[in-house]
Amino acid sequence: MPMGLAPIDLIGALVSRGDTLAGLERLLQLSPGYLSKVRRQRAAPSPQLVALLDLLVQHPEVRAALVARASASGAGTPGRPQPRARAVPSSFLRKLVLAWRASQVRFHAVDDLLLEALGVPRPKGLEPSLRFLVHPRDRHALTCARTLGAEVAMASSRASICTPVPGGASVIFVFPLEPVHHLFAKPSLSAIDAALYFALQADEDAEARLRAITQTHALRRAKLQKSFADTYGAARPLPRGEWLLRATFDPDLARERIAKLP
Amino acid sequence: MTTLPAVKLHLDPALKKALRVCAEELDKLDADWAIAGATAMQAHGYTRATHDIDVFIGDDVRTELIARLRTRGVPVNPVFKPYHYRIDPVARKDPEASIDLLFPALGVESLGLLAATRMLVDGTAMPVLPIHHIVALKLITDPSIDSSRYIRDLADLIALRDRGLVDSERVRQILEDVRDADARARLSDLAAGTLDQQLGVRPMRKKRSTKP
Repeated sequence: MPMGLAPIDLIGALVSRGDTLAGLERLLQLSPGYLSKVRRQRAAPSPQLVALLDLLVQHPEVRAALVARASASGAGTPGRPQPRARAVPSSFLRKLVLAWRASQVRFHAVDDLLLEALGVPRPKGLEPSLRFLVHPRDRHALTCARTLGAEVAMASSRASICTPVPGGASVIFVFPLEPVHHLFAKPSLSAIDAALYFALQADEDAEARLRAITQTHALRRAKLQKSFADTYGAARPLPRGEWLLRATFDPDLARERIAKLP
Repeated sequence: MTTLPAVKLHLDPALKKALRVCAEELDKLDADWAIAGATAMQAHGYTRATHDIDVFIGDDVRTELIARLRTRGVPVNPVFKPYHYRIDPVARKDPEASIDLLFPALGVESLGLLAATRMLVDGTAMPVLPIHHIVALKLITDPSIDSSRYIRDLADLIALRDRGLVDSERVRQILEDVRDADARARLSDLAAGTLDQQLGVRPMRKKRSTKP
């Protein structure tokens, strides 16, 4: 969906996906009834609010980043929130994704944010993981982060580490290999996209995420095998010596994992 | 008693402290490990700017090491599990100062771990990856897979060669052990000076004799 939709259309798109006006008002910390006024063209929303609505339409997976629960150190047990110093501030994430959107950075939130967007409970025992896939040609994404005051390390590497508060938690930007780039052409990632993505990651936690998605969305082995063959069937595995890169893209491992699914 | 070669690190003090903790725990675990990357190149005679320290570690101690480091208050965060973790010392002043813990699966890195020799790194004996393995690792980078890393590695290779730190025979043997024909071809090109053109630099020539 192109940028520049009218606020009324953005609200309409979100409502058609199952949002309620009251829910959106709570999420965006607006006065009760305000979006209703906008919808009836009795109030003119600020450019910032329009940008937020646009972001929600384009990147539903960052919804969790817009609320205060987003945290790199875990959601914590109910009633016992993690110390602030170990959390990536939600205000930073909100500004970051808005800046990226304005700068036409191609990105998708993955790991915990993606699971949350797909309505998949985070598997028990996993370390929290806050990361974004960013198109490798959009490294100005790092400049956006620095402009917001964050420290960015490993700026020219396959993964860059962004730390919004010195000594605090980090968010990881992964610049994936070419076979994964087709995801950037999609407005949002489906459960199948996410399942295949996690299948390809060497991380043991990725297998747990894959299983959580397949259970929640009732994805069967045969369907995923077909999708995998259609999407990544022609991609050759990386040489064995490229063990570090294989951590991010391993078709052989993905086939094995999918074959073990029910 | 033999004296080990000494290396002085010009890095963030918090980073050096974290490295000492790592070294202590790795030695307690009797792990196969070695300092790699720019710090290892410095130990062998080529210094270039760096903010971090790469450490290769045998995978068998991964879980235990991470648990022990966290118990000692050293923050270990995953970058690409199960191969790459990172320590960002809390008290660091340089935001890029970090230790990259790399757990290689196979190949030159594993051979290098077995061949590592101890040096005095900032006063503490630590194993350092041999220079031949460092050269071999940089030659293995495939430009068609990771072009930006290839360019960085190429710059290092040319600098190492120009300082007389590339022993072609030793490196060729390592590349034969891992059966990498492409890397062997790049080694020949490096020795012949033809790789230099890819960086837009002219190979260093021997001075002409002034004698008639």
